[in-house]
Amino acid sequence: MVYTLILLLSVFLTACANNPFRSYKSETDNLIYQVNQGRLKPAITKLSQNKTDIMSHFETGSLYRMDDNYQASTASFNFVSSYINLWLASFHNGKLGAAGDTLQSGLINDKAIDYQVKDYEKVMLSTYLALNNISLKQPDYARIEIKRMYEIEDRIKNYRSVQYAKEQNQLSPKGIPTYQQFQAKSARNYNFAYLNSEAVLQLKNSYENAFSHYLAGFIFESLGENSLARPGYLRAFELNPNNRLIQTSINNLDHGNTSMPGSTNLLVIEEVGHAPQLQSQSFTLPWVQTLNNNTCLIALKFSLPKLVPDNLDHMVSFTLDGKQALTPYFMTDINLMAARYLRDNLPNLFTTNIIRSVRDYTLQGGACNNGVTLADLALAGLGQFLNNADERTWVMLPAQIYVARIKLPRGSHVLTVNNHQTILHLNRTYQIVSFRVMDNQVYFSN
Amino acid sequence: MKIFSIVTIAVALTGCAINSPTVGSGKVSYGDTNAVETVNTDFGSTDLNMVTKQMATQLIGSGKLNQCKTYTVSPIRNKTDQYIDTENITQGIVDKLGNSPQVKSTYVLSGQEMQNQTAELSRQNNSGLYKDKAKIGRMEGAECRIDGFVSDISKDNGQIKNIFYLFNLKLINVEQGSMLWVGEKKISKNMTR
Repeated sequence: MVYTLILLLSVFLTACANNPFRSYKSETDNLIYQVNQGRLKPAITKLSQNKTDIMSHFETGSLYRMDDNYQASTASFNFVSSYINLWLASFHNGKLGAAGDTLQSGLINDKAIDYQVKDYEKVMLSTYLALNNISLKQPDYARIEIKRMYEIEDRIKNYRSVQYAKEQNQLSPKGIPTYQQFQAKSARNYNFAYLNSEAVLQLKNSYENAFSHYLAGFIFESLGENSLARPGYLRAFELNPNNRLIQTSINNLDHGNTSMPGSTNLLVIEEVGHAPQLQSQSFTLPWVQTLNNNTCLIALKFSLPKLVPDNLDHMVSFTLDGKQALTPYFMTDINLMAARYLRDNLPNLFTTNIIRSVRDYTLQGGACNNGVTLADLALAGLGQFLNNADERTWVMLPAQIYVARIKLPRGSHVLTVNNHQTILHLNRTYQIVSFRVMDNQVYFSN
Repeated sequence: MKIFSIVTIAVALTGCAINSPTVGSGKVSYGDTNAVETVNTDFGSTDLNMVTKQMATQLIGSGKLNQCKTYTVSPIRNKTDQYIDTENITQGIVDKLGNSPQVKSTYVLSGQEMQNQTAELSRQNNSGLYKDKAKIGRMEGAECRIDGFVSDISKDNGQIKNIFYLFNLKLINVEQGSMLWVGEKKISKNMTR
C-alpha cells in the first residue's frame, strides 16, 4: 500500500505544472552560456517551448529586448504583467493566500506553488516595459508603465508593512526554535553574514531603486511634465545620494536648463551582466526527540536558496564618435536588491522549512516510536528528496545598471563599446539608448 | 503513518495545481468625489479639492484678479518627492476662476497649452483647405500670470508619520513683474501605525 502511494506521489509531483523537482539553476546555467556566446535566437527558441511557464516569459522578454525585437519582448513582459495584476487583485495579496501557500510549500516545497514574483522583479518589469515602449516610439505607453512602476511600489510597501507587523506578533510554537535561534545555530551552514552586510542593509528596501526613478524623471521631463519629473529625480537621489548625475539633473530642471534647440538630450543606459541565480543549499540540524521512552537523534533538513552572483561581467567605458572614453554613473545594483529580498524573506522561508521539518519529524518520529520498516525509510527518503529550495528567479535582469547623459547635436553618431558599434540616429529632443554587456558580447537597444 | 501518507498525497495533488487567483470577487462601488479620503498621508483627492477650491476662492475674494484684463495660469510646480500630477491642481484653479461670475478678466492660454493652439492655427492657414480661417497674429497676451508651487515637510518616528504640505499661489503682473497678490494653504496629515 505504502509503496503504491509513494509511486503515485512521485508520478503526480513530477507531472504537475510547478515541478517540485525542478532545478532552475541548471536551466539558467545553459541560458547564460548561450547569451555569453551571442546565441540569442537558439536560447529564445528553447525557452519559448514552454508557453505557460512564467519564468520563460521573464527570460524571453529580456532576450527579445537584447535582440531588438521590442514587440515580442513587450508581449512576453505583458504576460508576466497580467500575472502580477491577478496576483495583486487576488487573495494572494491578502491573508488566506499567504497561509495557503505557506502550507503547500511547507508540505511539498517552495517550487510546488506558483512563482511568487519578487518585489524588485515587479518594479523592474514595469521599468523594462517603459523602456520597450520608448524603443517602440510610444512615449504615452511608457508613461503608463512608469506610473504603474511607482504605484506597484506603493502596493508592495503597504503589503510588506502589514506582513512584517503580523510576523512581529507571531509566536513560535512551543519547542520549535525561533528564527533568531535558527540563524545563530546555522551560521556555519549558511552565509547569513553577506545578507546582513552593510551594503545590503543600506538599501531602503528590496524594491525601490534609483534607476527606475531616474528613468521616470527622464521620461516625464521628455514629455514636458516637470512637476512629475522632479520627484522622479528626487527619489532617485534619495536612493543613490552620491550620484552627481542625478543632482545635476535636478539642478537643470530647476533652472530650466533641460534642452537646447537642434540638440538631443541622450540617456545612455549600460546594463552589466545578469542578476544572481539561486541555488538550493541544504543542511541538517540535529534534533533530539523522545517518544515512549525512546530517545532518537533526528536529522532535520533545511533548504535555503543561496545567491550565485555574476562575477564575470563588469562596467565598461564607451565612446561616442571615437572621442574620449566616457564612464557612466552607477545607478542600481540588482545583486544587492536580490540579497535584500532574500534577507527579508528568510523568516518566511524558515517557516516553510519548519513545516517540512515537522513532516520529516513525523516520518522519522514514527520510525523512532515503532521501529524502522522499509516503507518508513522510503517515505522518509522521499521527504528528504523533496527538501529543495526554490531556485526560480529572473536571471536575465542585469546585475548592475549605469547611466550617462549627454547633449549631442542631432544627426548620426557612432556608439562604441568593447569594439562593438552601433549607429545612433538622433532626431528628437530626448532619446534613450541602452546596451547590455555579457562576457564578450554587447547587445544594443535603441 | 497511513493517514499521513494520504494527507501528503492530497496536499501534493492540490499543491501541484496552478493556484488560479480569484478574479472579480471583490466588491466595486462608486464613491463620493467630495468625500474625505484618508487612505494614507500621500497627496490625495481631498487635498486636490481643498486646495483648488480654497486658493481660487481666496484669489477671487481679494478682487486683485479683476485688475488684469487678461490672465493665464502657469503650471504649478511640484517641489515634493511625491509623484503629484500638479496639472490637476493647475486645471482645477483654471476651472474655478473661469466659471466664477465674480471674475471679469479673461483667461488666455498658458505656454504649455500653446502647442495645440499654434498647431491648429498653422493647420488652418497652411493646409489650403479652409475658406474661413482663424487669422494669425490676433491672439491676446496675458496681462497677469498666476504661478505657484507645492512643497512638503515629512517626519516619521516609526509610530507616527506626519506630512505638512504648503501650497503657494501668486498673481504677477507680466509687464512689470510685480506681485499683485499671494496666498497660501497649509495642510497637515498624520498617520499612526
